[in-house]
Amino acid sequence: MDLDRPEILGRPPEGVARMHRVILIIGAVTLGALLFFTMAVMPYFVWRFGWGYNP
Amino acid sequence: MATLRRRKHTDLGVVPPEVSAADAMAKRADMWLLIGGCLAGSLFLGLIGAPMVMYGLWLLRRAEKQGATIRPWIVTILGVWMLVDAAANLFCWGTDLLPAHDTVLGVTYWASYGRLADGAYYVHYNNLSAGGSAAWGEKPLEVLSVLILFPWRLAAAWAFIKMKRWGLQSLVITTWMYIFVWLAYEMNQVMDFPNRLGAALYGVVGYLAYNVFFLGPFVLIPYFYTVNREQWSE
Repeated sequence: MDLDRPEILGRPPEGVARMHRVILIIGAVTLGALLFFTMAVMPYFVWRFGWGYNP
Repeated sequence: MATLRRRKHTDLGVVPPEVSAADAMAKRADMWLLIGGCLAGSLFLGLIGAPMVMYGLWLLRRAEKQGATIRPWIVTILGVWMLVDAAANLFCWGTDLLPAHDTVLGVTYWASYGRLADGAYYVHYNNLSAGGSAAWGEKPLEVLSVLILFPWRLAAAWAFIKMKRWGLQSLVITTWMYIFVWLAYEMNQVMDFPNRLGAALYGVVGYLAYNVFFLGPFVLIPYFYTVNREQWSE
């Protein structure tokens, strides 16, 4: 992993490196969810309520 | 730093051609990430934008395997996340603030969103002089966000990805601003509960679900304050 490449980052303390790994995982999962959301939201709205929905 | 050194060598023709090709591929990947991120963030064109982002990430991985020196993956992942999030808030909220709220596309999106998650976007929609959401408290937040906060944050996310120091600094500032806006937005939701969450089909559960995306600032603050800032030296 890049965090372990001292020529790029220098070596962060172990606790900080662990926290960065957790942040990376949260970021990757949330980015995935966000991309799925961006793809699904408009088709879902049109399917659920129809085009031009205005109650 | 490594990238800068390699670039100088490339100018001198020291680095083998296959490495330059890999670097060019990494550069191309960045363009896919930028354009795809903005399209995905529009939400209306997410079906086109999200696959472009995924292709950009795949291209970057391939470039790395072929020998390109790329930035740490955590910077790419967090940067793209902020890019898509900023674009979503900018373009989407922009359609409610600007006259796009009168278009069929705008009304379809906002009325559906309002019916499911936030009643302010379908109860009396387009009935104020400014148009768009009929919740008064929403307009100042939209002006602040669409005209100042999110254009700045979008540019900052891109500069952050390109390892520019001002990108990191601007992301820190706009992250705190984002928290302020989010808190004001939450207060609006709570104080006008009957017309907002109370009038939405998914109510509080829906509110909790889409607030997952507002996690960003809270996750990033510890990162910004513990990462080695010297990396952003472009």
